[in-house]
Amino acid sequence: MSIGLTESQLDAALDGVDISDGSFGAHDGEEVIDLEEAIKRFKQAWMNENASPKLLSSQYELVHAIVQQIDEFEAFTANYTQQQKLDLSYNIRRMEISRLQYIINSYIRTRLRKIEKDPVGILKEHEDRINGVSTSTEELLEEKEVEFAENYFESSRKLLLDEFLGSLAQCLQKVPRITETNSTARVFFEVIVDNCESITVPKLKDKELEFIVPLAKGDRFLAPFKCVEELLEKGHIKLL
Amino acid sequence: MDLEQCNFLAEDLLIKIMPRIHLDVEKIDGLYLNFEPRVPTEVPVWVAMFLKKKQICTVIPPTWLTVEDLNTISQAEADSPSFTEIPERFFELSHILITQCQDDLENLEQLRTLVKDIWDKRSSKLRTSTMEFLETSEGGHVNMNKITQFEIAHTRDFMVDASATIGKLSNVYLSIDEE
Repeated sequence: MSIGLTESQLDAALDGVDISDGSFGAHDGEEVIDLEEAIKRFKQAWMNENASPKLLSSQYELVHAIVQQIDEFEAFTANYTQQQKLDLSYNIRRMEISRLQYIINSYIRTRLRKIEKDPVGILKEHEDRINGVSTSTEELLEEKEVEFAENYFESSRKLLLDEFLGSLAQCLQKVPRITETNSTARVFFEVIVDNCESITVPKLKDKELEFIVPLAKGDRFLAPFKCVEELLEKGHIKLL
Repeated sequence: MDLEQCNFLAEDLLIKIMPRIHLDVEKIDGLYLNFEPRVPTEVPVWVAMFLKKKQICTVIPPTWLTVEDLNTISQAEADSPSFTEIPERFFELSHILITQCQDDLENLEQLRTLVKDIWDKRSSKLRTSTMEFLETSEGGHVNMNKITQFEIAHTRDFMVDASATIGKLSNVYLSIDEE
């Protein structure tokens, strides 16, 4: 139901933006996936990030890829007339883009909130992963997030110094670091692969004993985050 | 993951509609939508609601949204002490359809009552099993197999806080015990 342009003209115009075939360039060792898969993975990453008490590894390649497609579409339709903008298929695509933008913004916001809680600790973890010292090898932060963490900490430090730390003795001029011990934090998760390894959950009243919990595909549990962190990084479970 | 986000995710599920117009759309994620009048097609729920508002389609509700099926589910919930299997986005979808597709559903009031009934039964089961878990659990983990994400989002804050507090208390208990 297009106004002004016929169906086929509009299709031809929109086809000029080659969106369905959005495979992403592979550098050595990287997978090539199409846009549909990227969006699916990104939605899952968003859900995981929301439910997790700790900052998870950065999934920014997916974000950049999706944003690139959105930019192409916006550039292409930037000069649409009022009439073209009333067209139904244009509106459906715009709505879809709004939905994707919502997820992207929410994802970025959640991560920044977690970084603000403990910028120093997170920067250190990021460094450790790059230097191969940490257990995980996935990058924790994206470039801009590193900048943000550094600037945020620097501003907080300066504020505290200006306000009152500066008037204390030199040896007391340390910025307190809030290390939240969320070691007892629990998460809800679902198992998404077959033959998943069992997790060991420590017993509450007895330090020595543990439960070994077998995991079958489709099972859902509430368990301490520490016990399932590795499985989450590997992609064997998803958080609910 | 809170309730609005569950709703948002539910809107991505596919649902059948009967369009009244011709249209071809190629969406950003590669999905093709080809509408022919009076030919049922599957589209995401958000597209269906958008078209419905413009009154250019009718929505065909999912097979489980009928009085008979809901009665069966409700009966099964009442008979069984544990949770029964229900469609994954049951509550979100039924809410969206009941509020926005009123003319496409039969027996609207009955459906509304039945969904509320199922919700009441399940949430009371959830409440009692949560209290049991917090009082007596040895391990700090629990199986939640037939519970939908929506219900998890409902109890999330409470469950996570309560079980974290219990964890902390038991750590204190263990450290005192060692001395």
